[in-house]
Amino acid sequence: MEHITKTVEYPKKLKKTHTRARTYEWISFFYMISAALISYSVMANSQTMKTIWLEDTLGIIPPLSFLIASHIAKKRASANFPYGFHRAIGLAFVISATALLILGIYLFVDGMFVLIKQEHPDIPTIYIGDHSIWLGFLMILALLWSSVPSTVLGHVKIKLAEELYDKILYADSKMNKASWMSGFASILGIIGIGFGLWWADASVGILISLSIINDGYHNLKQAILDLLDEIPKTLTGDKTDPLIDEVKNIALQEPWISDVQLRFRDEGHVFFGDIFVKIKGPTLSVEKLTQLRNKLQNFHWRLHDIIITPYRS
Amino acid sequence: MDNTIYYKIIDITFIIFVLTGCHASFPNDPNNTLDNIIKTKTLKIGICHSIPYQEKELLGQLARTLNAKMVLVMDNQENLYRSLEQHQINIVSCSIQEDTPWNKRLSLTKSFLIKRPSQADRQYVFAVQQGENRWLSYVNDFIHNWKSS
Repeated sequence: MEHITKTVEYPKKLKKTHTRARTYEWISFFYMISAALISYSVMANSQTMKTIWLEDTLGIIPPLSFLIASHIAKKRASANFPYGFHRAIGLAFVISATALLILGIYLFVDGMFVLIKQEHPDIPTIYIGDHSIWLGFLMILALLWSSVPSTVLGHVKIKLAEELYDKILYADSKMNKASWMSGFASILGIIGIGFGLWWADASVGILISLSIINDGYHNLKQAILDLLDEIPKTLTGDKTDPLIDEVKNIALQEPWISDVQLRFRDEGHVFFGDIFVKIKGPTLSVEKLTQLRNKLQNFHWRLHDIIITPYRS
Repeated sequence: MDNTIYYKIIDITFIIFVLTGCHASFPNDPNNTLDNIIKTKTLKIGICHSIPYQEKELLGQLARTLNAKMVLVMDNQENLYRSLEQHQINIVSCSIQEDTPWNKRLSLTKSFLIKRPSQADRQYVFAVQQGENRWLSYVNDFIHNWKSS
């Protein structure tokens, strides 16, 4: 049956991009695990390192969500799930955004307590043979590992996210891209401890927690708006997707249509929608409707599931 | 990709390492504990009533490396820890074990082995004020060298 929701099929060109995105998300997944383990191993009782460790640990969720959701979204629609599983992506987006927001709030409160209680962070020395190394230097190396590769990955992934119109990948890349800032702020915090400024550590921790709260809030807001079927927006979320107007124009070009009204919603990275067309004549052939539907679906791969409803005034 | 930002990152990191590596008193103490001990030539030690003589001897050696005289304050553990938090003493020696419930509020040094006659040998630590990283490093280095000598 033609009207039953199809599985997502990327155009040939995008199939490669999708495979690359999956590869980079696997790399991100294992990289984030390594960053979290390294941060934990040198954490001592530094608030900054605790913040970075939790940020790295939570950083595992977006690539994992992408990998799981992109697998589930490909599943065929069934009798129980006639619309398919596209919303898996939106669901994954809500989960990762909520986790990020909660973590940010927790770290903010925790950092404030450290400041209020004036807890002075200890960074001990460790010994390798007869050589002593201040753990702060190893923390700085750990921070470089958790920020520089992440920034590079972010730059690569954001381009793939734009091509695939994938919101999880986009949010993940944006956070990765900005991680050099938290990395270097943290390094300043550790150096601050080294110079005897006990408050530098917790203050930097609080600043980073604010940026985590900001990311979490914006991602969660976007995820909720998507679940409320907001009109599809561009990846940056500030404009209505131009594809909607293009669909309207294509429909209006048909000589048998006098007016078009439409409603679309974003289901992961594809659009589902209804187009209400006001027909000019007294009758309408099914062929014309089928032709228009095919024309629209061939116009863009994201116009995934379209229902055209004709009416007369 | 804009590579200049990465070059900047590498430059900044290099500068950070050079600057911190060259700084003589890195890490530093927020309350200048080590500087004050050296300046006043006085090491204020809090000790409990019944600590093994080896622990006292170790403290004596620590004071000698600092060229400082020892001022001993005898009290119970809890009072000594409070004095430590209020910067009235520099170090506490009370046969402290690493799992002391105070380890969230104080900095514990590296452990050292104390031999006890007719009892099993035990690892103990000293306590210093939290966050005095230079002083902590100094005591840790001292214990490390003492252990390897």
